[in-house]
Amino acid sequence: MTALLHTALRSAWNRRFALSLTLLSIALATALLLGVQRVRHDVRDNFVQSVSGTDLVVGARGGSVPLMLYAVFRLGDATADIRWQSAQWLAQHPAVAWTLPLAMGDSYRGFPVLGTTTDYFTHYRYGDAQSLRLQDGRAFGGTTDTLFEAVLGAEVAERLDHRTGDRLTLTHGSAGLEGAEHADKPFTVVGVLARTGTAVDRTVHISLQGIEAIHVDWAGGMPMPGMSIPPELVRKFDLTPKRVTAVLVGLKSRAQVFAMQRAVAGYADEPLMGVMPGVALDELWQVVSVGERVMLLVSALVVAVGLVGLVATILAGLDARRRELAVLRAVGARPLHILLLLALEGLLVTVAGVLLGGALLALLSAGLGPWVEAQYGVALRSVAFNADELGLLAAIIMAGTLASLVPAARAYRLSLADGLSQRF
Amino acid sequence: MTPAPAEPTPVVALHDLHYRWPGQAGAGLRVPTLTLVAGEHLFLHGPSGSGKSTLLGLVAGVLRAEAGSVRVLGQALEKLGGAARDRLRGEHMGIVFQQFNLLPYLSVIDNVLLPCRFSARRRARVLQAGSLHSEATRLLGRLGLPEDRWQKAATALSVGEQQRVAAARALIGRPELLIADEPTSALDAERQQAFIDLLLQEADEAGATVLFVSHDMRLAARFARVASLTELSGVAA
Repeated sequence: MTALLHTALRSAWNRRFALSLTLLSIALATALLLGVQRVRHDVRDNFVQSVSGTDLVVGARGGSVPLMLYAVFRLGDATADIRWQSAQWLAQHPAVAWTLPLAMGDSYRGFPVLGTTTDYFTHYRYGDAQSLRLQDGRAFGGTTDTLFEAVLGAEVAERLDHRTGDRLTLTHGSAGLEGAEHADKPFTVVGVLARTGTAVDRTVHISLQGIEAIHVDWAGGMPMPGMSIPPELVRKFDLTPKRVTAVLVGLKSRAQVFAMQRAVAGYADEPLMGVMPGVALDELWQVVSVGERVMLLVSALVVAVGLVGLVATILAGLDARRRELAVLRAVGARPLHILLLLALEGLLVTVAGVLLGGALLALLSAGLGPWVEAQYGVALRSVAFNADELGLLAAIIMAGTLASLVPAARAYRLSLADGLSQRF
Repeated sequence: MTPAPAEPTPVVALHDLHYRWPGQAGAGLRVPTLTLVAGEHLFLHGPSGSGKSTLLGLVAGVLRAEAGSVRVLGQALEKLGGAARDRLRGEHMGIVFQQFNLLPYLSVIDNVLLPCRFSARRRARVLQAGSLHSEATRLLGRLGLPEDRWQKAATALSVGEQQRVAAARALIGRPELLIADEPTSALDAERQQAFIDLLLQEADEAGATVLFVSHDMRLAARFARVASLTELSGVAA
């Protein structure tokens, strides 16, 4: 067997130029398949990580998936909001332990701005029930004196190179339109949160009153013409929030979640909806799983194409190697040895391709990870291969070995038919 | 024509051999009888297409006769399975082809040592006398291949040099039977004789019986025994 392995290695090395292209295509296909699998896994992980300890997400009646997307993952724009009175009602409900009202819609250089209360820093949980931690500074004050204070997520601070004391000008809406800036009311960074690996990292946090304050002289998404209220004067206005986008609700007892959900749905003053994060996530996965399956299928096909290339390359080289087979037969190689030799060659190329593909993926996730996180809020942080991925790698190697049996079987038949005659 | 001698086990003994080429009409190859005793050098002459290579294939055990018997070192090949015939060939026979004897991706030394990778017996025989490498270089030296060629890739050698390497490979581990199929036809005339001299000398040294086939009668001079396949078989070529 070692003799065969040695011979197979030398033989493959001799035809390294033809084989290296095949190897490369297998490597790329492997990286693609694994990459699709990994992104899928990491996205799910990220989403699951983002909500911990929240029993219900309450918002205007509509789709539960969009509500989750903007309330928890801060993706997309909120299409409807709820009245402040509804949020108040929730906060005072006897089953409710805490509420976090969230007001969204503004942005800062592409990052979402979230208006909330100071409770956010005590009640918000992510990952394995971890609470938020400030890596620098303090939380915003949440009083009228501290209206224009902002706390940055770790990614915002790092990307935009902001630290406490820096001043920010927020933009109305998420698109960053010219002339839609709240330039007259700049905010001051008072704190930076430690990294969480969730949407919090990409968020600029301000108080609900702050949100109110920058919009007092706005109407219908535009600054009111001829009306401009300077920051000093804005404090004289009633800055009680009028509307919020969603409310995260923590219950005193998880057992009450269904009862609370019904209570929310039956709220008389406004059509509301309470969504359990886990259920909404399942719904979300159902929506995306069709796309995921198509992606997986396409990448599996790419792997198949790579392996067909391998078979074609080895088969094409086989006719030129019939003398070689005769020589091996002459020195005592059995047709079975010839079969193994060819199969080993295919196996070697596949294994090398799979290893290269794995390395390529590791490099890519290390290189593109930060960019993907900044752009899409998905932290690609898997370094080691998990069991599923190792299973996929093994499956590719298995498929490669099976595919290599095609040229191997042909070599076997050729070596039986040719014997010692050096036909060419 | 030599009648079957009543000696100890002959190295090769063919009896009433009949082989038909697959998919071809006609009588095929017939060899009523042919025997090689230990140490014998037989020059088997036959024109192209007379079945020389087929006969070698039958003796080497890669082809199976339709009828009759092929005995090598006392073993009836027709009674052996494919694996056993392959083992017999690997352990007891050295084969030199007309050309393209070497695996292009192995060094000269590795080509010479190839039989030792497939045959434990030949490997053991070499190791009795010394190391694999020293035996390979000894044979290459005896066959006159310059030392600067030993570590080269097989493809870097001239045809004549390649044939010497092939001879060294056929002889390593002292197989009992050396089969040579027109090994000099790719060489120029003045080198042919020198090659045959070296080959026979080393075969004697190794105690190998030689079965040498060629269409070129001029090469027969150094052989103790010369036979014509056409006469042996009586087949219309």
